[in-house]
Amino acid sequence: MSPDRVPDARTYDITRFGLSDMVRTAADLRRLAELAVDFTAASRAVVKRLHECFTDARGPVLPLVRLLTIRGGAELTGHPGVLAGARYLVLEAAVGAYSDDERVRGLPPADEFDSMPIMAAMTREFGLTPGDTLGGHGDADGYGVFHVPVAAGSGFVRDQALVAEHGIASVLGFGGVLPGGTPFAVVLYSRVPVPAGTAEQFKAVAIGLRVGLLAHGAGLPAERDALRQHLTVLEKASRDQATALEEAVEQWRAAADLVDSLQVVGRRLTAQLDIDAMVQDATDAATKATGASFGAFFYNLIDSYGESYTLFTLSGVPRSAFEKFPMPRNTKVFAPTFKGIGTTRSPDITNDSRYGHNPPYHGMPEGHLPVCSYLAVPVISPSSGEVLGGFFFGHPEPGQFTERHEQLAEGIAGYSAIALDNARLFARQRTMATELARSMLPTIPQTPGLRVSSRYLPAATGAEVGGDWFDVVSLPVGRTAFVIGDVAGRGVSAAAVMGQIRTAVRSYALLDLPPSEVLRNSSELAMATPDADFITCLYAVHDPTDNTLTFSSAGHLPAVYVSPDGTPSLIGQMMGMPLGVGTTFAQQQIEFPVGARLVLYTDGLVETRNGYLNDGIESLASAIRELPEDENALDELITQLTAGAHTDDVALLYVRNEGNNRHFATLTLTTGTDAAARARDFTSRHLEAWGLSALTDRAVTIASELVTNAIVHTGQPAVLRLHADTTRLSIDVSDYGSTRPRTLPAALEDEHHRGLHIVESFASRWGTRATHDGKVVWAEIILPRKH
Amino acid sequence: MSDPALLTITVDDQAATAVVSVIGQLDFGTTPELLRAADAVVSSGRAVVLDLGEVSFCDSSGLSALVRLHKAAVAAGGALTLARLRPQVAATISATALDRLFTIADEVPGR
Repeated sequence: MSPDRVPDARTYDITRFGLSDMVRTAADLRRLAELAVDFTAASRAVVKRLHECFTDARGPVLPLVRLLTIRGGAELTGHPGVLAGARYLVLEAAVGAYSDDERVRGLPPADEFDSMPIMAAMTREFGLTPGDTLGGHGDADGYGVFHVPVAAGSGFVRDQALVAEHGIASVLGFGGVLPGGTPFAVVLYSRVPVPAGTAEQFKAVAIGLRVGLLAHGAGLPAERDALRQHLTVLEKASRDQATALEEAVEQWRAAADLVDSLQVVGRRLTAQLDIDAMVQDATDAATKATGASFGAFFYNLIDSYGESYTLFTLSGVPRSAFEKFPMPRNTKVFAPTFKGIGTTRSPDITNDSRYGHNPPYHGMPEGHLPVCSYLAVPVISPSSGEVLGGFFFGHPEPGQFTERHEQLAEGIAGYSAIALDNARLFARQRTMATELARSMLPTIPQTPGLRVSSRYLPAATGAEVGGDWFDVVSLPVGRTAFVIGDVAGRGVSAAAVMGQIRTAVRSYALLDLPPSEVLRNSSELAMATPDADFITCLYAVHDPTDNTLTFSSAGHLPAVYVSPDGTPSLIGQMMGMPLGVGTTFAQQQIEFPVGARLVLYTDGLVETRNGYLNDGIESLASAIRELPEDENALDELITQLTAGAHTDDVALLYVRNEGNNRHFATLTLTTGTDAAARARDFTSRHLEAWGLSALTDRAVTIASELVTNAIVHTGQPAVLRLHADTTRLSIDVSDYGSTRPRTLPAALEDEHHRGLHIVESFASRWGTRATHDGKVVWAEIILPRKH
Repeated sequence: MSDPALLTITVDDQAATAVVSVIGQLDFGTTPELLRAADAVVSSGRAVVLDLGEVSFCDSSGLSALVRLHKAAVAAGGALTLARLRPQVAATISATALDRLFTIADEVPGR
């Protein structure tokens, strides 16, 4: 190991020469210079070290390193032709190309001093005048750095051939003045660009080297002064660097915070489907992020008529602050935002050339919060390119909004655009799904004596239409069928199946088939219908003449029956498999007296978070028991049971037997010759009592015909029933015969087959239905409307 | 209608046109009596007026009886006129289009 070898042989990246690099290099060079046996050896060691310690992947980045001094001829013994009184530029040591005739050069006259541009510039840096330099006086202790960032073509680098040959990108010189007025300079020729930051660090390196060189020939006091100078510079550099570092850290933290907060805001905004909540959140976030004293977000929505309208949210200021002002117009200031051209940022908008052109206000209206710093960002739909709205930020002081604030606002505007787009699309989809479902909902017919309420709510989440349905069908003789059903799955195919099955059930209902038969027929139809694989349905018929409820179920959830005293019970369990699967369905009849209630529903109402339907059904049963008789009770019930967030559709039918304004009368029939006359007498007496005398002729004729038929054709008449409510008078006659009456065409002179023609003529409608032990023939007369 | 089964029939065949007056209701329980009482006079080939002014009710059984009497009268070369129909009876007759078969008069002719 040679004595001038520095133990620390680390290398540096000249493009990123930091504080610690500077400290280490300055110390290294000082030590190298001090350890050298003389000035020449010190110079050689320094240039060698500099050549070796700056590297990149391709090796040393400084192909040429030179150390120069300016000395008087008296110091240059052994050089032929050197005049003792003259001064010379001396190449003390070099790495890379040089020729011996360059070693010692005479200095040019004062008026040509700049012909050696780097040396001239550097000596000026050291605080020497050309006169000082040329004259060898000026006992300065200066030091300095000279930086040529781009060497090629630079007037400071005269030897451009050298630049080309070695691919020199930058030149960096540093040095100082030694006692006795001897300037020294180290010139680095770098094939990679040397940044200004690196050049700055070399001031301290220059001082370090100067201290080292002082070991050769200078006195102790000078060395001490130089050391003190060195320390001062190092301290200052350290302080500056530390401050810069702190600032950098601060900036990085701010930048990281920005990215973080943007991401958090973005995630939050884009997950929002509720427009109102989203825009307020976005406005608050953006106002906070930009440091604005207040912010506003104006956004456009489309109403159900397709008309666009504008709403706004505010942050940092109460809404009352803007309530009296009109919406911002498309002025020169606002146009870039409303037209979606781009961001507007102004340190003082009131001094902007676009400001104040439009009457009536010519600027901000009276009473407007003071805005000086102004920032506005358009919100543009990523899907359609349409301008959805704009963010506006204001601050009463000038120059408050920086480029970073602008980036932040633009970031939040970008997320807001996505979120608004999502929310608008979702709202549109959901409206469509809801409309589709609504259009499929039945019109609930008049059901005298029964109060029927229904609710249909599409799922609170998701936009797809579901397969739930309910139906209320008016059957003959004041009877009413209630249907609730649920097609498995969602979407258009479930909705289509639902439509078909609903129609089927309705049709079989109108055929007046018993509930079990309605479901059996519907199930058979479902088996033959594509995609109709699993449909649950509960079908119940209320008969007002005897206040019974006859029902059957195809795997649907149990209905809740609440007796007049308020006791709830579940009915319709285990009666059959779903439609499309089951082939037989049980049927049951219960009393449904005045005051009784019935609740039919789909699973969306009772599904609980833990998935136990039974818990939900129990909650429903107990809630129904306490249900108040007012308009909002059902909505509150649904909210209570689903916690306001039903994940599935909810269909609900609520029936209460009010029993008012209804009349019934039954007569047990005989087969005597006076049977029809008794039936007529019975009918006319009751109609008179019920205030329906106007219908007596029609009613007694119908009753007479039906009773006569029962006696003549079956010989086993059972009961004549009269039932009147506010809408109709129903007359039915049951018998124990199985033959169905048919209307046969009667020839003019035919003596028979006229009975049902008369019924058909006198009744609004008539028909028959099978009973478990025979049949019922019924007829109805619709009552004239009372005004 | 204290006695709904009651049907009263009077046959006046003194004049050229015989008049059969019916009081009561015509249904499957009473029509046999009408047929029994009126069959002879309508089958005689004479002109017969059936005075239904006191018939408060007639159903399809009553209409069957009227059609039978009408056919019997025509077969005997006579004619049957239904007179003084009350609304329910007129409505049943028109509902079954029998007004195209029967001769209907507002009053009993010659009275």
